[in-house]
Amino acid sequence: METLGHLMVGFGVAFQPLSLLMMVLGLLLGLAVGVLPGLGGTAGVALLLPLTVLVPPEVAIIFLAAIYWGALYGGVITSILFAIPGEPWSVALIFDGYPMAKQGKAGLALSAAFLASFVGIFVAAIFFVAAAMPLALFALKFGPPEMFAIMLLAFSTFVGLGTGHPAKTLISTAFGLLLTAVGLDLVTGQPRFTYGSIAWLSGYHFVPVTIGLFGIGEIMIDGEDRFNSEIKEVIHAKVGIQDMKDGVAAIWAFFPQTILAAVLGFFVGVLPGTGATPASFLGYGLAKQYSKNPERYGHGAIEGIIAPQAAANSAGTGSLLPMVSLGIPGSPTAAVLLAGLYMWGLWPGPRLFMEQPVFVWGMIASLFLSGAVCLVICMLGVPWLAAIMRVPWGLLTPTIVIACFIGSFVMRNIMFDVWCTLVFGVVGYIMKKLKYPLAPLAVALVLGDMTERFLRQSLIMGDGQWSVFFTRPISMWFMIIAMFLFAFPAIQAIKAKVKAGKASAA
Amino acid sequence: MRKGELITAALFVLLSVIVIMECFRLGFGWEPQQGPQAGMVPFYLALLMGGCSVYVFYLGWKKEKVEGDNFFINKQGMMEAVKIAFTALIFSILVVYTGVYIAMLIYAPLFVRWLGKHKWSTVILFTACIVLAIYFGMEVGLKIPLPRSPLYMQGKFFI
Repeated sequence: METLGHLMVGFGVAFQPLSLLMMVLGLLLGLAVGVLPGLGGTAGVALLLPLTVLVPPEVAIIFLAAIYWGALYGGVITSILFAIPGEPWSVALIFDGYPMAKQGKAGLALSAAFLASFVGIFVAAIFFVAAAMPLALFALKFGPPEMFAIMLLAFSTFVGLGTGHPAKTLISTAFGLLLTAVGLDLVTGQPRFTYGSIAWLSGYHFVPVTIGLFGIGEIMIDGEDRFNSEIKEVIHAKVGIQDMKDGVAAIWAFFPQTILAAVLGFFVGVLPGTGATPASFLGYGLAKQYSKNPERYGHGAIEGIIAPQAAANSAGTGSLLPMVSLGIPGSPTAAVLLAGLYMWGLWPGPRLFMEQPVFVWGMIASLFLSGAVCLVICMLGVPWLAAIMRVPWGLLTPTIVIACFIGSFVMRNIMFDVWCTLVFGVVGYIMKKLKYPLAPLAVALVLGDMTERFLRQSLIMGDGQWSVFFTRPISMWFMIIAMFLFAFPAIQAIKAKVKAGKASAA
Repeated sequence: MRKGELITAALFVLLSVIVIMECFRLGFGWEPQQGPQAGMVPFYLALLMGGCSVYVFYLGWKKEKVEGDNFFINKQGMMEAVKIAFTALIFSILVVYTGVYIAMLIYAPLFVRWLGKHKWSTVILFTACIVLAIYFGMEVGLKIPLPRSPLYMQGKFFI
């Protein structure tokens, strides 16, 4: 009941004219970002982060979250119509979405995907409302050892559950953490790794590095790919009334699968560092596995669109839950939003719920509202959104590059950040090519300072003994799970070897 | 791909060594009454990163060279990525030394003409649009000042 009251307050915030205006603006920007191949949701949110100081934080978070929802919806359009994923999480939609479009059912495929997105967000938002407060209250019991343990847990999920090579994931994580060590030491005030440079004293800022990694790096990859993939047949589509009716019918026909995918997606999203992309593949895989006629998949099965999309959007929503209640981002985009929270002077966790109810509940209410508004925009705007794809590459790319550099500069108004964007653009390009995962790097950049501070505070509490993490029950469990996840790839490798050994012996 | 893999891993090893050297200066032990010294956390992180990079290097070394598995998709693609990075470098240098507006006035035509291969009329129209959009959007609309040239600072030039 108390939660409902809070939610009403939240809707009060979300329905304010300024919030609504910024939400629609954010959704439109996010849809554009989602459709454009060279710019992802993470870079989009990072680019616009510096501008949010102009509005109150509760409006700013609605704006930034709306960009994220827009990107989650927008990736759908290019996947289905052009077989080009606008975002990594919409790759799974190509399998069945593009065949459907080729069969002349593009409108139906799109409307089903949008409706599935909406169901995904809606289901996740309900879970969000139910879980946010208890999780934040649970975090009240946390001291420095627990906080360090949960951050370690976040990093361990990248190794244990991530898609990258474990060694490369560890390199990526350590690299991100080391970057945050540059500057003045938090505890002793000594300059570290500055090598006499004044600019380095203030350290690397999250925004220019992220814009470089996810913005400029992606532009370079995209520019190179231009000569690899031939342009596939472009399909024009409009979503009509009949498509919407059929879309609703399709969702209704596969309602249990849709809800299941959404619930599963939510839990995948809550896990730090996984986010929407694996959730969408998981949703696709499950739907196919438990389908009565799996042979239809890949040839335009509508449930092959619904399940991954519901899971992806639900995971996107879920990734914000640990971000606001514990301060642990569930995806790179959530990491950028968390950086925003710090920028606005807000501290995630239980205190945020108590001191800033307007902020927290405004954001939660906006989940429901943006989901619905975005559905309407998408249904009406497909032809225009698809037209964004036809903006020539030679005009679009310089626009994005200019926006990236200006966006990084205005964050702190120092020229060092311009170099940072450039250098990390190249770094991001190389790392992406060699399959070093970038998500742990982004999360490490945001959590780095705090991870180190909590570790050092804990060690001081424990008088230099690591046992401090294992004598407290909550931190002990977090540590055990984290260690298991760190060791998970090794365990799997040993298992595979044993199996191979048995097979060759037999 | 193999060469790129080896070079990148080697660079990460080098970076770890540089960090560890700095940690020796900072101290990475335990300071009585104070707790961990400033270099402790980076020291162990660098050890971890260095160890993993050596392992990645070893894996890359062991792997046979596969024909067609190149770092760049093809020659044309490589040139395109290099050109994008090169023009971005020019843009950054110009932003730092001449301010945002002169940088845009040089970078936008360069990119649109050289990489985009558009007509001159498109080049001029696009450049004008982006410069005006940035000026009115950022400086007039959002009141965020952007860096200008040193000549502007002395009152000798309008941007």
